[in-house]
Amino acid sequence: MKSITIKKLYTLHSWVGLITGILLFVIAFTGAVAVFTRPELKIWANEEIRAEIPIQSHKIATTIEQYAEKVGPAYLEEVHIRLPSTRNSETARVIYEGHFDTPNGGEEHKGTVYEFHPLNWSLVTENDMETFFNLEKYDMSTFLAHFHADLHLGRPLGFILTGLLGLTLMVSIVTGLFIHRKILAQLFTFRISKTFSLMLNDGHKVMSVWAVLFHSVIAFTGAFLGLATVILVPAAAYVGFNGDQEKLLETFTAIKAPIIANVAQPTKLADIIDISIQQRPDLTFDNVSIMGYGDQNALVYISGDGSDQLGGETLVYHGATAEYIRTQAKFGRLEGITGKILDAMFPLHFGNFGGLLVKSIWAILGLSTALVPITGLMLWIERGLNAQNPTHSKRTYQNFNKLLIGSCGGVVLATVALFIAQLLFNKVMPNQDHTDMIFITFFGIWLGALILPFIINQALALKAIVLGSGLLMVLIMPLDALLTGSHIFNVFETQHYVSVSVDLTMLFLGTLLLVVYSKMTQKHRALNSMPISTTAIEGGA
Amino acid sequence: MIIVCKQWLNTVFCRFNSDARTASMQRKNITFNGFKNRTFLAIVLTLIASVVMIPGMATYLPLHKNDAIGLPTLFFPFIWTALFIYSYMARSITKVWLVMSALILIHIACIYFALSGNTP
Repeated sequence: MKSITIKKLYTLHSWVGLITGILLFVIAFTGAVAVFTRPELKIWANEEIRAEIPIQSHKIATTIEQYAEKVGPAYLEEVHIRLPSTRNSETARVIYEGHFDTPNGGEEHKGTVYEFHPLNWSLVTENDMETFFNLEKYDMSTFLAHFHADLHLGRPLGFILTGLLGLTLMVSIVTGLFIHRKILAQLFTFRISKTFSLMLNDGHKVMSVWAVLFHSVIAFTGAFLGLATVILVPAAAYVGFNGDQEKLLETFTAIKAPIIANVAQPTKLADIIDISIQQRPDLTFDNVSIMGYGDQNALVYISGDGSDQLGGETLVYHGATAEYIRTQAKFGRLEGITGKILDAMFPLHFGNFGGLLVKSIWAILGLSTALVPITGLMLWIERGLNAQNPTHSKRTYQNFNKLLIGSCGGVVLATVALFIAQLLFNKVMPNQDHTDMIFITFFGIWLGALILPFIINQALALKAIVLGSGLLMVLIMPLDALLTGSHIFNVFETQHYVSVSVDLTMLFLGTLLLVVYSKMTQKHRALNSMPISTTAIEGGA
Repeated sequence: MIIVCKQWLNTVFCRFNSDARTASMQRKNITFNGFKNRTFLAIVLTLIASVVMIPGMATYLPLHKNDAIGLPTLFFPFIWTALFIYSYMARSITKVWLVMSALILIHIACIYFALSGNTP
């Protein structure tokens, strides 16, 4: 390849990295944490769902019947139940939905949303659909999941931004592959004991090359998931469905409404749930949809994850007789290859298709996706500070370094602080909405960390952020034991296996960070004895 | 008519090329000629072209309806990436303008004919 082409690719790679690097770290880091938001962190953040929750089929069926009488027949066209047994949310949720004609000839979906206690199915909240879906109610796990998806900027801005970041990551991968052509040699080159610059250089290449397939999958699925609802689906619907997005979604969606017979016949919901559990022990059921509840032709769709089918499976039953009809994938039932690819999108992005092991691999690889832009940016600063004729002034590189430390270190510190904050809010303000407090904690700490390197010595600021993150992580386990009474010594009694595992993981990671801090302190002392500062971290010290 | 169009296009191309040459001569040691022009192409026209191509491709892909609609949406990230890199890597900016404009116009035409129910 001609040297000018390589130079162009290198410049493009650098500029894309410089512009998007920090944001990419923020998205990738929160993504690595978001892998565990459902259900692990959700379980950890909510005491009432820490122990296993059995599926109480008869209790569910009785509750659905009781509230169906309350909402009336107009709202029984669709009944959607989110089962509490998967512990993906702190409540069991039931939506009663009806379709109503509008004066301009269209159709409007209206309904009521009930939230129940996950164990005793007592009513917690009641809202109409519009109010419910506009409610922003977060605990730390949902906050992190939403922050990863749209940075809490909402739709469409947040989704467009994260989608575009996926696209720019694809550009970085393609240009990077052309620049670093000696891939095989780079796979096994990591000179950790040489200079800081070489370590950064090798680290950047090793993490890029070893995980290139993962980075590519995350970039593609991230770009698709970010832009799907705001750009891709409206564009696709433009010709195929004359702009009717609802019709397009209806065609691609797995849940079809039956032709209502208008003959009343009870839906055998309890039997269907019991049969499903008995017939498919490999599946963990999370959602039930009943189309035409209480009608002779009602169809019941019960969805679950855990089998080999990416994206989960849905069992379809005849509601009135509990007769099994078929099993279908979400999109895979469609003719053609598109459905199969769409089914794979979510699991490939979130790594929730092969249990805890795959999730852990996804989180570790996700951290490497976060570290690749950081090492790239640090290399750029390092080279700029040490160049004889740098492109920019020394002050520019130093300020960029401060921004890098504050923004990237800050997001780690703020994420860890959310764990402590959640435990305290649960204790101090039980059964209350913590959304505002969660927002204030996260963004307050992030902002503080962002400003810190501009106020004090940046090397000191970095050390403070690392030390703070490490200490907070180590503190999570004892604080949890103190405030909730749940700890490793009574885990067999409480059966809080998931939350105790989260505590242990945080303790391990915290200890690791404290070791890093200790090494940094040693290195800092050694560097202080050198006459000239030479590293990106020390550049502005 | 065709000859007149060709002459006009030649004049425009020459002006583009001469502009680019002059600019590159004025600023030596730059990697990209017409950087602002290329950035506009990479950011604005690339997005327009790749979005227009989604419904446009659905009209001519010889596949099952689900795939004809679904696959272009899945191709979108690849098309965007390819066009973005092409905007900066192509030697001639004029060529990039031509390719982008052609892609946009052809796909808009496909959409128009599909919606109006006529065949071109």
